[in-house]
Amino acid sequence: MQRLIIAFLTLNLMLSCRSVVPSGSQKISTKTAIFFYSPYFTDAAKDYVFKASIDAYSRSFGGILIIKKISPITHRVVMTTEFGNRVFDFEISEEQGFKKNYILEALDKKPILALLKTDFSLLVNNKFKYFDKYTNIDKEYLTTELNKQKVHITLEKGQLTAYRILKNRRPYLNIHFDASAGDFPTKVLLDHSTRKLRIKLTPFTD
Amino acid sequence: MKFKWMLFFLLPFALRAQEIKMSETEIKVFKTEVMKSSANTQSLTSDFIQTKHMSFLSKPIESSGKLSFKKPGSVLWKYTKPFDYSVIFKDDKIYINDAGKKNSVNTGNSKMFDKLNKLIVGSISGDMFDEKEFIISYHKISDKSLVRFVPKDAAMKRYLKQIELHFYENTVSEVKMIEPNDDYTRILFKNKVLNAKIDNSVFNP
Repeated sequence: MQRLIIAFLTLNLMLSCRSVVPSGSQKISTKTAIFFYSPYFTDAAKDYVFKASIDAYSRSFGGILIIKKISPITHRVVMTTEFGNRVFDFEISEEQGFKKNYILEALDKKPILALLKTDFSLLVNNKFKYFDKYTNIDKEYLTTELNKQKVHITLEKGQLTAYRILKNRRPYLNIHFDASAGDFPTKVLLDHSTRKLRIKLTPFTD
Repeated sequence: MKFKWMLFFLLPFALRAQEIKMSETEIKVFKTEVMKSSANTQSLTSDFIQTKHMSFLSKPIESSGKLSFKKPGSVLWKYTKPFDYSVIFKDDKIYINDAGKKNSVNTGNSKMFDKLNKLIVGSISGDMFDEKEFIISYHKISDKSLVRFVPKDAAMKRYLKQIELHFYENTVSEVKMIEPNDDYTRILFKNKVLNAKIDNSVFNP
């Protein structure tokens, strides 16, 4: 019985990886953990300011999203309206987790907070531990974990281009980055396929 | 000699503009002047520069655009830099155009900005001093007037601690919206033009 369960779980894992990793990819496994460091949102001297455009079901609205590294292990993530009123204000720390400083009363619901926590914890996380890597021509796929969720990281020619979270082997959250040489992504798209929710972030230009 | 040294140290304090509370007579005169100016204003256009100040930012976030107002109460806030975004207040409705995406409702900021807009529109129309909604105090700073509005409504207090309207020559020159955590948004108005012809189509959603 135990062998059957292990076989089933292994098959499940292989299938979930396969849906992200193209067939024919070469797998490289290590016994010792390797760390992947995201290049984005790493400079504490910078304010990462974006115009946010949100499509939620049949509605569209927007605001300004600000990400700031306030300590070596903590990011502050604040969304305001275009007029400057705060919509939400979080602190996300590698050690202390997710802290809500403020959120509009209408949004202060468990499912919304859970969604925002998943999205922005992944977006700002700088350090991922992995054991398995898949390579295919100029792409690499890393399998890692964050907040007990499996995360698939895609690199193209060495640059971070996507994070993916699957649930029940179906796409749950895709975060796409337009290629950027520095620590400030040129465009970011957070796409929740199952919820008809898309958040597009475009950097402010001076 | 001792007196000269005292002057040297005290002079900067004397030269810095001091905020002085208006007397009851001064408040009456100020309100009358604002209402007279409002009665004579049928329309107003102004450039604005908005800066968002938050304690953790390296520098304020700046945006800018143009404000248009036409009596009795049509207002257009049009941001042009660094993004295209506009809000029209007209006929008790709010119309938003976010870089081409149109929406007639924005629950996040509409109540708050509706209050602010009523204040700004009210200062132009002469109907701003609503003591049912706000605790109001009046001050002078050099050649300008400063009016502080502290909300009475508990719901509004959760997202707004205080609004300050700065007046120069009896029209609003600056707005400062202060949040409960003391972060604030400042809007400066420049190049004001009063009573120019504004076509109604400007306020079409």
